[in-house]
Amino acid sequence: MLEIKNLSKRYGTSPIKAVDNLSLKLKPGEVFGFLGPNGAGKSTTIKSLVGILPFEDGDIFINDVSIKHNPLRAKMQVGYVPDNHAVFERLTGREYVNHMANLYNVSVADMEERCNKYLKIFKLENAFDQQIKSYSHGMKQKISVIAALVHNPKLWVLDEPLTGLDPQSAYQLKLAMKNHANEGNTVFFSSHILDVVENLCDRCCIIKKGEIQGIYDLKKMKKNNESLEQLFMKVIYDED
Amino acid sequence: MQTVLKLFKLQIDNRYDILKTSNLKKMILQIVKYLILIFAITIVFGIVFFCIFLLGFKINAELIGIVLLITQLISLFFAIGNILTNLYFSKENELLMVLPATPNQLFVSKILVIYLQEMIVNSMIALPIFIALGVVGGLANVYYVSILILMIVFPILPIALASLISVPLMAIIKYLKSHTTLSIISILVLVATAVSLYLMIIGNMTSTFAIVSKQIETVRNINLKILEIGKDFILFYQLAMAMFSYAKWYWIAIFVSICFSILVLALVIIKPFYFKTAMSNLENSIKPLVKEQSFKKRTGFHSLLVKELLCLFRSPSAVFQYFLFTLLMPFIVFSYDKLMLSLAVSQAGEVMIAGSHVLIVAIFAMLSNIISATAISREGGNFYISKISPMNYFKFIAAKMVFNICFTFSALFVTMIVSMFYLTSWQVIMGTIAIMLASVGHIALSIDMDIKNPVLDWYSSEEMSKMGGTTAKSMIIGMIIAALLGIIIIMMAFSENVLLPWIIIILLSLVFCIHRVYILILRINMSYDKIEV
Repeated sequence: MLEIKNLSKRYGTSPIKAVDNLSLKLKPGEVFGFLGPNGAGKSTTIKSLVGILPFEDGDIFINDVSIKHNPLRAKMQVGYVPDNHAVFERLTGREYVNHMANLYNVSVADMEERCNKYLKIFKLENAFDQQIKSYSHGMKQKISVIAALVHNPKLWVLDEPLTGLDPQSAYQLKLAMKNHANEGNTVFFSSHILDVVENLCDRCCIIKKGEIQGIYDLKKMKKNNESLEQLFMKVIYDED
Repeated sequence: MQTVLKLFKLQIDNRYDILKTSNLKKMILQIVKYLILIFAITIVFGIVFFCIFLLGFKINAELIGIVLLITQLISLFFAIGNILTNLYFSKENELLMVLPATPNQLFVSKILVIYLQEMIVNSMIALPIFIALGVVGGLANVYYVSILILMIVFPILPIALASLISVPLMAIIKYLKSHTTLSIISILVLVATAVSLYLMIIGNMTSTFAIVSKQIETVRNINLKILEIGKDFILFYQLAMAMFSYAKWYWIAIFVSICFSILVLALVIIKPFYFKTAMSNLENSIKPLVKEQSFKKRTGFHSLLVKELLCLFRSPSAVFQYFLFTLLMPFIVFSYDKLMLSLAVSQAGEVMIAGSHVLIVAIFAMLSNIISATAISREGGNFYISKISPMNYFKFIAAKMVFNICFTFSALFVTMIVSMFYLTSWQVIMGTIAIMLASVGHIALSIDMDIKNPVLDWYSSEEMSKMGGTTAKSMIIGMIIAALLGIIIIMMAFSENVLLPWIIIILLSLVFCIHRVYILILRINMSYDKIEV
């Protein structure tokens, strides 16, 4: 579903690579967690794979389509929830989702079906026809999620998705991620909340200074009674 | 009182750096800079007054009284703005209201801030005017001593009156806030009225001074009129008299007493209103669009156009930031042409008037294009959408271009129709075609500049408030283009071939348009993908 091959990226003329020779392969139907301390290169990797940032070396394939050589086809299969919660605030929730759906050429029937589904899940029906300017932080996050899912992407990428969400919304979002993966799609998200990654993901990887430190099967770890928190501390800070 | 002063200092520090600096030298340097500025303004006023009073106008108590009234009116204008922004719409309110201070202390500190700001306004306008008048008129020392005292007193009356005016004004603003279209129309009508008044006054002045032989008579009449009107404003006339004689200084005391009485009364009236309004402004004041909408299938390009339109027209401030000149273009050009046509000129003069028409229209058209100078930067944190969408970057840019072109061309078209009633039709049409072509080139150039150097903030979602260096550059280039178009017509007014200058500007505009669009296409191909947030 998603294959990152030897991805390297540096900002401007900086001698340090933000991401260095990163390779990853994600399977359909899995939820994959992307862990790392601040400045490790998580957001840079995510922004590169959704097409926001250009990169020097390597390639990224979404469903075997290279984002470098066939960007429009590759982007068609990706849904992205950024960490900045930016939305066009003067539009209503419906107008915003409608606009995003139009960019992905979604039919009105599909728009309605998918929106109704997620509006119910996120309990946003009453605010959907209000300007986003009046939304709370959490509501903006929810509308970003709906806009990212309106074209039913094969790969759903989320950057720190749980920040600022109330417990119920966080629960609903985790459920939506799980359900999306169960439908045969792939969910790739970054997070600092290790408990969430431990409970939600099938696999995860830890990145430090732009390099992958390891890819871990969380089910196996659970079976062996290994803690992700301890592993993370060991990998990142070399603490036992 | 200590709490009031602390609150006052907190608000001042938030606005100006002068008290924050721990370095005494820096502080003195800033004060010196400020004084130099006042001195420079005084010199300018001095030169202007010297030229005017050379004609034979007299500086007397009546004139000073009128000037006192005018400066108080100017101060009132600023005071209304200060009260609205500092008292009702201040973003600090949220922070200040949770501080351990009583509502009265907070209110008094706010009034002190407004007082200080009014003092600054007066020191920039009233002080230079009075000093310049005193120097030109060779007035006695008592006049300058009075000015220093009056500078302290001057802000009181405008603040008192502005506080009272602000109450109904706030009610109107609150109503207009939830009626976007009405607010746009209201402001447009206000601006149009102001501009037409201005043009009317200019028109009257030019006709008055056109006849040089009547200059002495005109000056004498104006002097008599000043003597007559000046005495009508008793309070300001007596205050002016006090500026000429220590014996009349009791009028300053009377003026101060009156001002204070009105101020106390005004503050008692507005205090409860302030807290009610300031608190309600902190609440969510967005009018919900409760009308159930439906989804609409559009092409990506069409959807981008609709998005631009909705985002812009739901913010009156954005409309005025970007399209004030577009909306006013037909009206102002009409007034300008009327003014020009009142001059009796030869055939070449008529071509020159047509050239100046092209110049004015082109200036407005180019100013209508400044929105394109922030095409990318305005997206703020939303810029990522153009990168992640499965759509060609050209479509995103084309939507922004078409959006701008639609507005500029509509304004140009209306202006053209209006102008055709009193200027030569073929000249108006050819001029409009040239301006349209140049406009497209200017839009492409503005977008190109923004792609080259966008100001993008990943965490900013405020998509309509970016004006920066690119905007200024775009405006300057636009002015140069407009000047070139106008100057070519004016310079070739004596040409035997009357069509030639018009053909030249159309061809030049066409070349510019094609060149800039081509460069923009190259830029999108080369640079858009490399824009990093």
